[in-house]
Amino acid sequence: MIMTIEELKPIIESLIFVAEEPITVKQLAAILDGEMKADVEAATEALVEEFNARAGGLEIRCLANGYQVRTRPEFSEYVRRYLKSQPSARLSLAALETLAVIAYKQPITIPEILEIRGITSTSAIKTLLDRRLIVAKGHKQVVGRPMMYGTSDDFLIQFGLNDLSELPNLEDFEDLMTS
Amino acid sequence: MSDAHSKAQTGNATPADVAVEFAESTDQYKVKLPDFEGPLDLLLYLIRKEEVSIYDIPIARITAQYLEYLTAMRELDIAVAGEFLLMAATLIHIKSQMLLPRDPDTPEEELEDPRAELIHQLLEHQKFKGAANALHQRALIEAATFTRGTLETDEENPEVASTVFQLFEIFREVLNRERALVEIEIEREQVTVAEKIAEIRMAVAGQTEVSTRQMFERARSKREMVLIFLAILEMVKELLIGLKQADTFGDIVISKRQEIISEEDRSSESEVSETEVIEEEISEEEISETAIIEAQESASVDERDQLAASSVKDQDIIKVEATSQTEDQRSDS
Repeated sequence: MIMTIEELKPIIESLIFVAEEPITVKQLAAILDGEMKADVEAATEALVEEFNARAGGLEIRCLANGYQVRTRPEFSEYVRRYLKSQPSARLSLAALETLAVIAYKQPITIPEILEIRGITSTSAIKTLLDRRLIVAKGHKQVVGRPMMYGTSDDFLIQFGLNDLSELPNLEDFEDLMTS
Repeated sequence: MSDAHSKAQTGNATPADVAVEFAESTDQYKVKLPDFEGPLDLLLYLIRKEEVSIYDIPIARITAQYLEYLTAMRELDIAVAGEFLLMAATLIHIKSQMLLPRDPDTPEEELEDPRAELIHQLLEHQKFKGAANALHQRALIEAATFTRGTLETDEENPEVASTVFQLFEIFREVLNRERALVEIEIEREQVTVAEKIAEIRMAVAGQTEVSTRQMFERARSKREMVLIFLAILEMVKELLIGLKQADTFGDIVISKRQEIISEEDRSSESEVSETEVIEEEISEEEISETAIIEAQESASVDERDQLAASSVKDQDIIKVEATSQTEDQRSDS
């Protein structure tokens, strides 16, 4: 049965609500397997626009190439009261810088990170691995076959990115100190 | 830096502290030590403080300041990381290169600014610091958003389908198993480390790889598990087997290291290891005693007295066996 966009929208809305991780158009199309992928995509985009125009407490975000319903950050204080949760532990400066290097230069090996940062901090790498913000992405085919690292999907979700192209432009930070 | 200041006030200062205090008061530098993650951070700070252009660094001045800083760190007894020293050496090197007169024959295009690489490093570092900060801001905002919690699905609750009676059956099984285990432990087991080693040797000779997890699961008592562990350690030490772990927290797998030497060959050259094995057997009596004590705690009072009586006897027998074996060993050699 081929459905119209109007019929597809509420179904997609329910699926996005129920999904724990951001759900991709591919996954949506798989569930709605009578429909054309293009229709599913169009319906989803229409849904997202309408949903977010509502200016309610929720919004549908595009994260890690999928769609996810999240609360808007403006209301975090109240949500935290309900969840009785504290803001989670922040990453150290070293870990953040290491993460930035990996994010922009991936896949990258530890010696290459050292070259750029001028300092190695293996504990930062370990923290990033523990938090699943970075993952090993194979070995570099040079002497020693060092391990290469790149960012994970969890990284995209935690930093609010749909994909790596949404990373802020590195060149924007070039001229912080020209005097 | 407040340490130096307060030390000066209370009169406990060393000359170094006073020097730093003086420097602070003349505003030579205000340093926040914990913020300097590395030498590049420090350099960027100095460049900013001196208000010079990163593209045209006055090497002499910056190097002098950098070295002053390192000295201050050492005087305040802060360990200076290797990277800082390396950077100091690099700066001095660049400075010396700039002092050397240029070769007049070299064409203009080939002239390299000795500072070029350093400048490039500093620019890169600055970019990533900026990017890291931007990412940090994003993460803060994202951390203020939340999703709906986990839903209960059949995948997470595979046992929900069973009834109360099935649950009770399983509970009864576990109870019976526990009771049976306790009864087994009351008897003294005859397993020794030497036997376990032989067992492992046979297992490894037969298959290419043996799973340690399976071995431990098949053990019939805690004592047996300890013996297996000791056997594995001994065999690794003797380079008979190797251990591999494919995934973090995954199963550890035993593989053959060298050809398993036949029994006759081993006994002629292994007096040393046999003595070690004997020593392990003597310590086994302590292990079996612990097992007996555990069994005791779950047995009734009458049984406990019986056990106490029999364990004393067992220990005497064990001691006799051990000493006789050692004596045999001595007489053999």
